[in-house]
Amino acid sequence: MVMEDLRYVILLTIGILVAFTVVMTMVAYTVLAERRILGFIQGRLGPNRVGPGGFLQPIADLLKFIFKEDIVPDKSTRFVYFLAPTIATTAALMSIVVYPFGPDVHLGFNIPWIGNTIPLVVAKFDVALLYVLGVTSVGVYGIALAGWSSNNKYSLMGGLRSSAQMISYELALGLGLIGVILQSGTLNLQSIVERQSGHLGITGWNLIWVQPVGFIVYLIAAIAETNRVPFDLPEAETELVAGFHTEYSAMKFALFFLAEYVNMFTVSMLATTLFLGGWNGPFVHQLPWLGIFYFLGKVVLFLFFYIWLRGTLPRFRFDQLMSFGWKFLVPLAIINIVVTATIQWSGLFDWGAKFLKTATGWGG
Amino acid sequence: MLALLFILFAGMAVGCAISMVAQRNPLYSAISLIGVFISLTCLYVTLAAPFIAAVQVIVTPAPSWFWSYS
Repeated sequence: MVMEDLRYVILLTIGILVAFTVVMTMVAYTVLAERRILGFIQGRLGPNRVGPGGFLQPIADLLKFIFKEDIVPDKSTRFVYFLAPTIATTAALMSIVVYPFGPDVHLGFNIPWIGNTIPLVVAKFDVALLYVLGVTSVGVYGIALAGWSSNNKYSLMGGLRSSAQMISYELALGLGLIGVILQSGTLNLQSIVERQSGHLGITGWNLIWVQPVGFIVYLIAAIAETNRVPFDLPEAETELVAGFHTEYSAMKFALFFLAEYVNMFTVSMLATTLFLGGWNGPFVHQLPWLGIFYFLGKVVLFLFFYIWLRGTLPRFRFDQLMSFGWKFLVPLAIINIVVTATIQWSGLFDWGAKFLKTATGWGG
Repeated sequence: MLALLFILFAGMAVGCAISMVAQRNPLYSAISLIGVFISLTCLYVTLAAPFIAAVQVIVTPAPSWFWSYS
């Protein structure tokens, strides 16, 4: 019994370490890619001196963050001031474990202790979608507490704006996903992905068939949820210096920075899993390892979309942001839910899927 | 193993709950309340009730409504 527990814990630890390393590396290079692409959009070069094409820039940045002086403001509330970046980073990182990076890989031989099946997901969890929504929403505390504990008016404004914005858009985000849940009938991410395997792994995607409106609502709400341009009011440089992280320096600032990019990454992974078919793609059933490349490739598409938006859109005003969220996105999501539920209840989806499958060999 | 986890998280929950009532600053009370929620979540997970645990995590941001809309 103890042996079995130990084996489980060790396998889980290995899985977490692998997923963490992959995500962290990709996040580091997302920062570099963002700077290079922004440079391209704005007609300049961006960082290109450290290593070939700026390839080693993330390592240089990390070293710089570690060796910078760590300044703590005198009048700050020490405990909360130190707690805030921890909460932000932990909440951002915790949701990585439930995303299916690929299908189960069946090997032709036995590896001692592991067996002949390697699941490309760290934790198989039946209510994974609820878990993701819950854990990512805890991240609002990191920002709100950082704003409050810095004892700085601008930081406080940034923190308040951020908590109001994140709570408002959390609603639209969740409602946008309900259509997918209704249509798949499960909260298990692996099952949701498996349901989307259509012809060549492309035609079964939720985005194409059933949830274009839910996809748009989710995408916009996710940008607001991660505090990115055009919804980056919590750190609006022209109004609030740097918003909630004005008083943070060195590695504590780096943790906020990291949390923002990991959040961006996790919402992209969720969008890929729910709307773009996750690891589905051509020939993935013959070569299961391809699933990882399809999954990460789709995530990279989303990240590029984010960076593209940052380079091309101006910032919203706060009242515009609120009225857009509450008066446009939420009603749109509710209408989407009602329409999806009605069609689902009438059996039109099943009929259509069966028709397409028999007539053309398409559909999920 | 499970008993150890239970003692750990139950102790955390009770401690945070007492601190929530005893604090003078409302914001510290809110932070303690978050602590209570998180330890309850861990207790539900050890009881093999993942759905209730997930719902408990989802209501965790509720205290942040207090300071953003008041």
